[in-house]
Amino acid sequence: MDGRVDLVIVGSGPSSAQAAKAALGHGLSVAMVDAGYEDTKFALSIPDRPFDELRRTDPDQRRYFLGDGGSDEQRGEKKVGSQLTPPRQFIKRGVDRYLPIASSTFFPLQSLALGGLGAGWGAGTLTFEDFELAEAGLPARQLEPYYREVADDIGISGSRDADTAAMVLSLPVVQEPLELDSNAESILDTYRRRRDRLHSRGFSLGPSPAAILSARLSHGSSDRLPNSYHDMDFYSDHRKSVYRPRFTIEELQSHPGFQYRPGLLALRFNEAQEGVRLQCEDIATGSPVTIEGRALALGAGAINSARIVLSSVAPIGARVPLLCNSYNYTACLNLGMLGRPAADRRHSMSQLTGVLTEPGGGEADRTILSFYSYRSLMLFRLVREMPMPPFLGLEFARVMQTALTIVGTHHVDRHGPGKWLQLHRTGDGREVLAGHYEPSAVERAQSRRTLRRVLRTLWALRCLPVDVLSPAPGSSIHYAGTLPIHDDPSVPLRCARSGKLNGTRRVYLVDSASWAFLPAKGPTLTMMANARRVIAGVAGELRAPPPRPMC
Amino acid sequence: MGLMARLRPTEREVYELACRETDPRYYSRFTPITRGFWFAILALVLLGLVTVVCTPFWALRVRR
Repeated sequence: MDGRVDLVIVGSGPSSAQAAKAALGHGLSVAMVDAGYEDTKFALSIPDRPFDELRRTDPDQRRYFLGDGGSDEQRGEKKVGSQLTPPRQFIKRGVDRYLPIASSTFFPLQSLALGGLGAGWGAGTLTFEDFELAEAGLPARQLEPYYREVADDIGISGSRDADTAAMVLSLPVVQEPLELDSNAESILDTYRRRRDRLHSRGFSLGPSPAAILSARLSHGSSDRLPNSYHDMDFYSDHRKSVYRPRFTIEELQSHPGFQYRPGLLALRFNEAQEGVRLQCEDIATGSPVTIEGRALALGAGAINSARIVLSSVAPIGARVPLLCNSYNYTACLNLGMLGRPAADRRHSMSQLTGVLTEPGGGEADRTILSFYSYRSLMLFRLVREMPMPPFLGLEFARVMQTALTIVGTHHVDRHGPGKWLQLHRTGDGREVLAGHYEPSAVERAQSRRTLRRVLRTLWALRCLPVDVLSPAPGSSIHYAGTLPIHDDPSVPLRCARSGKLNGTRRVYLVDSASWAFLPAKGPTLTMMANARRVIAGVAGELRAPPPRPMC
Repeated sequence: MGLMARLRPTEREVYELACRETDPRYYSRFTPITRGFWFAILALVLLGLVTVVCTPFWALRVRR
């Protein structure tokens, strides 16, 4: 295998980007295989100006706010990912064709974009607590330094004195917290006045820790600027304030040991005596391409990594389990802001994070609430949901606009018999992944109970719930557990704590496919930290001298 | 089609609204109305009453 690299990494999402950076740091040569779709239409055409100013003055705003010819959402197509703004639509480009999923119960969002789903990440950076890591199968003590490395690399702003700090952010290295907008300030004021009562109900609230810069961050060739509070974070990456994996990959491209190989779709792998061969398809020509390395790291996302593994090592029809946080969002009116003007200076991501647990806390499951203020997503999206004539809906929306708060609620998820993926081959030899996601009756009842508690908590915060939406399973965009950690190395389609896939010599999982449990907290930060941990082990193994021949 | 779906605006109406919202000439028609808490409550109540009266007539139109 002349010319092969030490490590082939599949995907360019948050885990893969961190895996590549860690591997180069350990002195390994890396080839990153990626479809690598990019936004070629919008990035340069969106002015770096505040949302309100653009709305008032830019005659070309329709192009990036609505998209050319209308986005899926414009056309009323409520497909997976249709909520993405036009400049983010590239995230799901090519997925229907190359990563099809046959399911009537599971509707995930996958990505073949440069940066993967991280190109649209909400930038929430909650750390898992030790008991959550333990249930996921991840070693808490080992992971701690890697959390810190990731925080140093991507830049995390957050408040250390918030009530939630102990439960959501145990990182010592953070930037100053971001400014809160008027709506979040108002909710936080209410919370502080009623803190004791809310604590007794098991609820804590604080500013969201986020991978959004509040101060300049430079390292290597990377130079990122603090957030401009233009409220355009759903549309553009100006100033690179909100972390995207693409920034890491751009930084690594100047490294002599790094090759970025876009335009390739990873299909399957096979192991030879001297390493791993990854078989890919050139997306432009359809021709086969083989990439060779001493080891392979799969970071294509829990679903797509499972697809590659099933295609490579499993008999047809083999099933793997699946984890996906169920998700609701509640539209509320914050009575404290009703009729009050709001400052335009704001960022678009989650402003506040709430943690709801059983009174007394301990190692009970956490439910995570993310509070967003609704401004730059435009009023027509609201009016669409109102059962009334649009001219009246618009007036309602204008009265409610500054008080409107969207609260996203994530619930924990555990494996169950109704949650799985399975690879089928069609008559013409194509492979199609089938998925099924059906929580048990006990889980559904628990979710309903939790949601009732969430609504009571929102009342106590003077947020009047007006509608609760429960999107189809998969819409949380948090997936994991398809090839989970298992202590017995002989069990197929499972992996060891080191991330090594059972039955292989040097194939590793660096994304959330290896987790045996999915807390309600956003998984991205932990995925990145775990990718660094796995790569440290891979580097040690590749550096180790080959075993002496027995004679 | 369920009652709530029937009462919601059509795709065409939403698209026209979106086009107006992204036209700077109509900017002022999409800005928040903020004249105090009691004004907001009164506005919501009045709008609710007008909606209750108007919506059945509006919904009787031939819908796509």
